Amino acid sequence: MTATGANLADVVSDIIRQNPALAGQMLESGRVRPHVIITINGHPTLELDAVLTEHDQIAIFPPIAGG
Amino acid sequence: MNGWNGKILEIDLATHTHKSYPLDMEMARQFIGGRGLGARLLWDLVGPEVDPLSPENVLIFTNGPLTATGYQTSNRFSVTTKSPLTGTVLDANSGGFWGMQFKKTGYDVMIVRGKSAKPVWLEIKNSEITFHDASDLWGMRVYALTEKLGQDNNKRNVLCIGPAGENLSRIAAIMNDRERAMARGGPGAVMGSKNLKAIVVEGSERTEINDRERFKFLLYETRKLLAASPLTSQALPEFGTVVLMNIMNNIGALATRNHQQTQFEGAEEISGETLTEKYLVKNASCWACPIGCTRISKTEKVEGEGPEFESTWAFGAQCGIDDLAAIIEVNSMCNDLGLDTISAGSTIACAMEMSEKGYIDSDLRFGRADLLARSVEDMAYRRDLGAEMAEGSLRMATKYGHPELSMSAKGMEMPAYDPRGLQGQGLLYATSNRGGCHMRGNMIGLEVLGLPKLIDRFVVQGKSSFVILNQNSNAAIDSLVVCKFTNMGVADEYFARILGAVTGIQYSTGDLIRVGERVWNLERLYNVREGFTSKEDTLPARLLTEAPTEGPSKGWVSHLEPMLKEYYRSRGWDENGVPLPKKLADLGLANLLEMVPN
Repeated sequence: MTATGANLADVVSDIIRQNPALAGQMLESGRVRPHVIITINGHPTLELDAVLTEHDQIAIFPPIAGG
Repeated sequence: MNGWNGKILEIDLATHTHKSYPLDMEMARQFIGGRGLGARLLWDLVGPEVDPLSPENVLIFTNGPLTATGYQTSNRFSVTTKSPLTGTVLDANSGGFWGMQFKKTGYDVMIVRGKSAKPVWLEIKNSEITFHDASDLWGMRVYALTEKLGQDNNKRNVLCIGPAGENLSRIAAIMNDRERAMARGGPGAVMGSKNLKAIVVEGSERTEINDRERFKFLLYETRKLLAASPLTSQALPEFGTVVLMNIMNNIGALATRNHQQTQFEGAEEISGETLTEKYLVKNASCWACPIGCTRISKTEKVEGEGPEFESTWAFGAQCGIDDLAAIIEVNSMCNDLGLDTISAGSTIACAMEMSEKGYIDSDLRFGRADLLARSVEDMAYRRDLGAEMAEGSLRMATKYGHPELSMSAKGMEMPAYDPRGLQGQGLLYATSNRGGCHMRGNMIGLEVLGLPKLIDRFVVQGKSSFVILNQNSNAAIDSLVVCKFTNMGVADEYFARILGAVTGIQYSTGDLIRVGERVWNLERLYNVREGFTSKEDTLPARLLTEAPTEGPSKGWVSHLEPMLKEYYRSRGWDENGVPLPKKLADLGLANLLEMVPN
């Protein structure tokens, strides 16, 4: 899917706008839940103010555990 | 006696006799149980002169003071021995129900010595020990044998080897409760070398708890914590461990085609999400476990437990195979034959690369899902190329002149996480006391998942301190013996508290981590005594010199050397990786130094 936004926080908001069911999974008190994992072009990040460029690939993963 | 039963059972297979004697409680306080106690006992029993497949090697089964109390995941147990695959100290642990039942027979430890003249199986009903002729059971596969010996999860539990162990495959597993495995490092071959086919336990003893009210409260608290953590209440029960496939691929740390690449184009087809969608029947749990990470999967040919992430990866991305049904089926075959799935898959991948490059005459090729079943059967029965594969990838590759194609550390095949995408993970594999293993202190929490914090996975400096902390913590948990997955919802301090409530001995969190550090250093000293040096603290040349040419790990190799120097210093070891006398004295191990040559 395609989403728009100047930074990661804006993109996440746009993704949730397009998929409202994700809000409950991803957000808690308006913030991204700590166990939600986001990567930008394959690099994990916690920086929601990360500035993005066109064609950056964002991947969002559910809580993950294992060995 | 609280927590511990206070007794060791010793089995002599040569004479078909047994005896029991008190557990050294000072040793138990220092090493607790499980991996720690096993390592300490192995130190005394098996020296460098002992061949792992000789009668002089031992199998030491251990539980811990928490086992069978009903605390979360208090079902696990360990086996300790000298590994026929690596020659190092080896412990492997397993879940299910057998460990709980063994504790109920009234023993903390069972030491199995010698070799029976003919195949035998043991039956332990509390203090009643019976040696049964296993001549008519020899050759049976695990599933049929487990049923024949009367497996009943909560009452009577079977531990056994399959054909792989009987045929002394160095990657053979010991299986329990049908589909649980003590797999890494080949303990099944040690059991096979003793002509020991199975151990069946039935017990009725109760584990005494010092402060039952405090124990109940901690049980309640930890249950709430596990229910509140998305990892233990959602991730693991819903998707199982295979959920790791997509993210490891996304970040370019999924070893592919014998570590030739770090991303697999078929990752989605073999992911946890696909498993849930297409093949999952339900999830399941070990005894006293509220998490339920076990998958019960069904294809047209099989239905049963698994697969886990590592097994799916080993027969999947590592072999270039995206046929999840075939992977589920071969995973089940490995359980039935008694084989380590990680080593089996990675050894097949090694053979695939050697075959494609013309180093061996074989039809094995990356992507040939149709050859998986034949390959594991051949490994278990030592047929054709299977006879070489049964030796593990390093011995096989060395025989054909290409040891560099074995993706192993100290001879044990490495798991899925490619160190070129995770610098700390590379240090972990290289320094692991039992060889290439992620369960000694997995770094993906820190380097990928942000648990408890996110650190830069490509940074080298300072990484050793995190690795050391993980290794010490994991060694402590392995000595309790409980499941490491509980640590994803419950902090280390709770382990210390519950241990105190059960035993009446007060351990601080620091004391517990110190137990882990003690165990780690003892294992290291054991390997030093065996002749291991810093030369073996390394990774395959491919990971040190060949960088991926695409993906997020493009351009990166493992920068092991600077991390290793920092690691030795931080561990309190000399520049050759030998624990210094001061460190050993601090840990109460100084008396062991005199048994190490030079």
